[in-house]
Amino acid sequence: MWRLLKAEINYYSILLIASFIGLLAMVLILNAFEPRRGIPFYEVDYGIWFLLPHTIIFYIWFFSEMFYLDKEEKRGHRMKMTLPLTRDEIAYASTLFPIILWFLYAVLLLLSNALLASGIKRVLVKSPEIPFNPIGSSIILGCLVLSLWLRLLTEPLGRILILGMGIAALVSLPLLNYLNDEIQIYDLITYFWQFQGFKFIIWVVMISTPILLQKVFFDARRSYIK
Amino acid sequence: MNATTTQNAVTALSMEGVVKRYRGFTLGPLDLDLRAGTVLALVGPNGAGKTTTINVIVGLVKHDAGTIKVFDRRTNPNDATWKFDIGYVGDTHVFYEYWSGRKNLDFLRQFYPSWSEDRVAELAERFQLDLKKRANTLSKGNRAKLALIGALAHYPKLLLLDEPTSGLDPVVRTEFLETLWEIVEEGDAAVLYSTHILSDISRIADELAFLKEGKIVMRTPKDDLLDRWRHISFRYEGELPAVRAAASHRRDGASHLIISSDHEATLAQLKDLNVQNIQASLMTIDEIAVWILKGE
Repeated sequence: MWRLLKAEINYYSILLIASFIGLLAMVLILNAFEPRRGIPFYEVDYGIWFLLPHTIIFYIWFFSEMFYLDKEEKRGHRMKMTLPLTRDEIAYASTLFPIILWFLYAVLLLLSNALLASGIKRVLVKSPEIPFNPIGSSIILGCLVLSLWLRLLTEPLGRILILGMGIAALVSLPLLNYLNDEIQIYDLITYFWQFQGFKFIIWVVMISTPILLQKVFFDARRSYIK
Repeated sequence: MNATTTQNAVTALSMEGVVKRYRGFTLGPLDLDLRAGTVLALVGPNGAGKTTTINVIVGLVKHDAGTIKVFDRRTNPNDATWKFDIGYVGDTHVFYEYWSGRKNLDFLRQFYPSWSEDRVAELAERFQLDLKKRANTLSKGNRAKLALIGALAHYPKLLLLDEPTSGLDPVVRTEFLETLWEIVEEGDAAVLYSTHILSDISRIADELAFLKEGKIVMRTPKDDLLDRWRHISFRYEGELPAVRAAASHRRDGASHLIISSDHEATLAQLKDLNVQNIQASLMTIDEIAVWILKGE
């Protein structure tokens, strides 16, 4: 099982490295806009407007990764199944891999939030008080999600998902802002926000999801071995 | 292959009452056995169940009933040791696309204790395949060759080939098959080769199994088939009784054209009837296959 998992991580690591490089490049570019202030890498700003849509997208990605395999992945799965491994070993290897990706993704999200939230706010909005800008959020989203979904581009469902995620990212924040004006939900959220509760709950749920649902994911992956 | 080697007593593959049900299609119940050192062609039209048959053997799909044994070991998804004896090439050739052929083979090597790097080098040489190239830059023919090297490098005792030349142009296909058959003839592996192009395998096959709508309608030694089937033409003016072993009978005035599945029986009857101008000609294996699959 570990040999298979190692190969998977080895093979797909290029996508993750590309995501990191893209992210750092963006930070450096943004830094260049305002060299005087710079962007302190340790300045973490878990802006709720950044965190919420990305968390939703995170879930869309992860669950579709678990329950839907595109044509290429199914073929890849077939190759693994012809190897002298037991069905459980194959299923575990293919379950663990997306879980590892999940955690790497979470780290990426934290980093991007820390690095870019403050940077974009200062460069584009010029005011650290204003909640996170949806444009910046969408750029990051594009970099991170597209890199991992690139292999789905040839699949109709992949195209729909990518399009859906893009629209969701673009629409979610203005919509929340609009709702905030109308029904004052911002007050409710900031109430939690001030006590760090809401952020905390989101991260706990995010991090614990793959652990709590590991059995469900495992069975889903196993079911591909018909 | 030499069908009389002593290994032939060993059963490489046995399937008993194997059933796989899909909506609108049921494979089996299938009884099939394959002795070591023999080449069996599994022939049938698209949708007959050839791929499903091979998939249940190699463990790509779970069968609903029956037992499958590979060298007397039951295929068991919880004990993969029976797969050590199997080499499998399907109709699509799956690799880690951004890895070189070499790296893909290195990945496979980890799983097979009997893997031989000398064998890899020898096969790459014979196929003239550059293993340094990335999988996604290889042509269809070269992908098929790489898949075959991966399947043969651990000296499998049972080779399962599911239309491995699918999508290859005739020149590449011929080149691929010629090398494949040389390798098969040199070794003593049992081979199950599924195809709907019988001429691909007619040179090497010891036996043919015809699959139609999920059932084996005929299994026969290849040479028997070629010996028995004939085109027979003759002239006969009167009313002709039913002709023995006629798979097809066309009449144009006094001229008759028969496809006979047992030309000796047919000719004996025609002679009794004193028909004239009898001419019998050989049929190709593909022509025979068409009539078998059409007729039964």
